[in-house]
Amino acid sequence: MDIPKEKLLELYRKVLLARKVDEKLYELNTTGAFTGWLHLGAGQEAMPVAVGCLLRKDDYFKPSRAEHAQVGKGVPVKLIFARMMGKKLPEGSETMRDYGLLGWGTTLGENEPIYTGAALGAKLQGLDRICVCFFGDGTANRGPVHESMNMAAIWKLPIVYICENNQYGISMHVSRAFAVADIADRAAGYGMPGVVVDGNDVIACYEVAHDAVKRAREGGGPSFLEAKTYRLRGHWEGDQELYRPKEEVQEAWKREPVGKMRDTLLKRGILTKKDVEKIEAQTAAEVNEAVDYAKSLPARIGGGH
Amino acid sequence: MNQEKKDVTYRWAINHAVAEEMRRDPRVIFYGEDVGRHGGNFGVSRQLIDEFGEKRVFDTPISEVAIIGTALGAALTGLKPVVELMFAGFVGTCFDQVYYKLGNWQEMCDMKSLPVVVRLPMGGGAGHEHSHCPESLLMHSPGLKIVCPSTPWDAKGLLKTAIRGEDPVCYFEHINLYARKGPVPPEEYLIPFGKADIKREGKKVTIISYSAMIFKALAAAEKLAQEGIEAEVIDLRTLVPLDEEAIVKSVKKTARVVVAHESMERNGAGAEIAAKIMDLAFDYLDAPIKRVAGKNVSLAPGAVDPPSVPQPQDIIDAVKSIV
Repeated sequence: MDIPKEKLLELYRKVLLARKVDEKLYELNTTGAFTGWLHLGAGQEAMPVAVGCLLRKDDYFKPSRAEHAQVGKGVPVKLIFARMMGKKLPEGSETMRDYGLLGWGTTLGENEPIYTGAALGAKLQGLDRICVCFFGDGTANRGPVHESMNMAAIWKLPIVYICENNQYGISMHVSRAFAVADIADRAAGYGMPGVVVDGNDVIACYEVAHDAVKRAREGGGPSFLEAKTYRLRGHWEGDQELYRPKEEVQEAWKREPVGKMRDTLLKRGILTKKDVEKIEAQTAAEVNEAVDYAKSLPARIGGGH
Repeated sequence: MNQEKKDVTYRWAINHAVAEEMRRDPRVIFYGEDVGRHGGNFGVSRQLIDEFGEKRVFDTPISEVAIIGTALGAALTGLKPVVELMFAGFVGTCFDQVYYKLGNWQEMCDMKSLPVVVRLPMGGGAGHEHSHCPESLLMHSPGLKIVCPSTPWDAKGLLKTAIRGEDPVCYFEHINLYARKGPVPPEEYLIPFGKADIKREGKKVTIISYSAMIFKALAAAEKLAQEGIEAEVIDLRTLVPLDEEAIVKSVKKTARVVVAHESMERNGAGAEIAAKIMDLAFDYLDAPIKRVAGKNVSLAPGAVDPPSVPQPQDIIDAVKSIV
């Protein structure tokens, strides 16, 4: 697929931004700027960002791990930090809902029927919108995901289901949770296309997601994408990770998507080393500005996640 | 009310409520298992598909979690789904969706409008999972409205309010009432939530109830009247919100209360109502509040009313124990 230079740069900026948001959240959480459990997503930036670059502002999406899908879709980073830091946005402010995020509950597998409903609502009202629904390998085994995918297939809903297979559901390796190698094999059982892709390759993710998004938009119904990637950090910050060898994690870092994309674009001459430094500085500044904004807001009382 | 009230069955009153609201608002959709061409397991949705078509009235596979979940999601895109669980006991299969999601979404996700109506048929003698009355479980959720009509008049007016509103509602129909006829005004009317109906006035004792138990309460009241005990029967109509004002007003008058419901005694709605009366009207009571409720057992199948469910005599006995 011939991806325009502007799009490649957007993809790179966004995976880098996603990584920097992740790292900043770690810094803020460990220095007490906000408290609470933290589930970071280093290593999984490629697919959510790739998909985000294919969506329109009013397309619906259920987030992937960490904040990657929000970053990919262009949700202003200040909204991300405002939420994570438990802050109250000013009256009349844009919220994530304006970017197609309809909220979520924290029981895994139960958001999938809800976002399938968003796709149903879009189709019944003839809205020119699709829905993208991310979940992990762990969630893939929950019953409601099964019900949702079947329903989307029989009603040809404009939705793309994306399973980010990062190899681990907390401590459970996928080889112990599945009797098959590819979760995407299940797609055929529902009557929808299932595609496996290297979830560390931003460009490969973009190409595969492009077809799925197009299919949904043109009334072709749902698709299932499985992005094979790796969870580089613990399931949560504080996870001792005694269930996997440190060497495995170190090896996985060598394949991480942000560096991989940078190297690809350098190799293709789309980026120079100077560009890389410039983008690095711009992205860091963007994150800092967003954090400063969030810090200036009052605390939210009640509700929220 | 100049026009004559017609007698309509409970099931047709519900049907008419849905049809009227669907005519009025194109955002209302109606779905569930076998509700389309089949007309619903209890015949409640007959002819709706003929008038409104397959895009607004449709069948689903056996997928309760997805029925409720998609209703929530569709509501967030601007539709007003009215969905059915074929039997109220099936709420167990989708409890997260109803209790944790519908019941918490507005606060949890900061979204005020969540217009979803879940219809739940309860009672009927078909065993524990098919005839269970789970209304008290769902009262325990922060954000659900709990509606339990007894008459066709109440059924229609309350369902119209439910569909027109912006909040998630659990609308409990009673299977034994579907064929029961009653007057229904021919003109447009709505019944607000949180407004009980005094089905029978009296001075000696207050009997608080809802749903099918109302008719047993009225039968008990008639028998009691023959012995000079005039009972006031309050039909709560909605459990959340609860009409505390009506309850207190009656307690001030009678000083004696019996709460009657079909569902099991332990943690049934009666427990909450009794505690509320203690909070609000303790000084007016001249006797302990009595609960007449199902025994704390699993429902036996095979009869219109299982043996563990209260009958009018149980209400009579309870009243006599405190007057």
